[in-house]
Amino acid sequence: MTTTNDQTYINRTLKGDTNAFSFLVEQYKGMVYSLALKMMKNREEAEEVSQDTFIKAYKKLDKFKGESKFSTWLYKITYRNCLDAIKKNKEKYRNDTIDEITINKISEAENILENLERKERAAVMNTCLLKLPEEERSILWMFYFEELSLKEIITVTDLSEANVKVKLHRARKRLLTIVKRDVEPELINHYGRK
Amino acid sequence: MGENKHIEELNAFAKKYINEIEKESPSIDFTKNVMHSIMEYEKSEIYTPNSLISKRTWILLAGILMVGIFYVSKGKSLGTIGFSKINWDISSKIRMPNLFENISVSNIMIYACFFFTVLIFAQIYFLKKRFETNLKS
Repeated sequence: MTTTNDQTYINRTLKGDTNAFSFLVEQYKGMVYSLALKMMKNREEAEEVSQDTFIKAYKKLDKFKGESKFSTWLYKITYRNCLDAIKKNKEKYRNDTIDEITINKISEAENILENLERKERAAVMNTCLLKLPEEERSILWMFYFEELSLKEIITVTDLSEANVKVKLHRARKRLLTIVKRDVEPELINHYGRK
Repeated sequence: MGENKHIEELNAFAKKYINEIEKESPSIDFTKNVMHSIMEYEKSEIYTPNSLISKRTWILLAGILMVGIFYVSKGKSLGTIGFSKINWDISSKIRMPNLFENISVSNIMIYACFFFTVLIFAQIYFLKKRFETNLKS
């Protein structure tokens, strides 16, 4: 499943060429960091968790059997690391959970977002995404941004297929609710428009 | 049908707007920092020097030596503890030309050589054990 190129560098690392591992770090640092950032919501902590992910991956490299993509295996370590870090500091990562998912009209949320410039919209969406619970947030990120398949997400999260699907659906609806709840009043405040 | 359509629309909404989010990158020194930590880890894994013979063994050896010295100082010769019963004269058992015929060696010297040999063999045992442990890890 792993690309030949990745496997070449993995083999070289396992044979004692430590520097070959830097290729893998360079290749996957963006992917690991972006997931960590989405889960940790803080640059410094995301950087720390990402570095720890690569160090753990290096130490456990002989346990990687190539049954999944190397990137999926790395994602799994990142996801676990983030959850552990969040668990250690539960209070800090308490989410502003929205229990009620009331908005069903997608067009309403779309109208709000289309009123914004692309760059501004991206920033707003990022803020809204960060308001989701970390599990839902990471699943949405992996599915839509990193374009991981459901099977890959199941491997990373160790959740059942049904569970991933439910969380994905809830996450989408919750995101829609957050956009409507938080962005619309802000727009009215700033621009006096709806 | 209605529910499916709603799910599809939700899917399209999430896909469109999440993809617009800009991907952020780690610091410039990220790879350098990771590789530095890995090198540090490798260094610590190569060899951790520690004493070949443990403190406990040294105390035990010192104890045996002290007992020996005490025994001798009390006026009892080593002969009484059985050394005289050992036939050191191996020349009668091995028919070889005696190359050291003209060299006379005192009993003390023989005892010293004996203990020295024992010490070397003991060290071989400890070294073998150490190398085996190091290679396994």
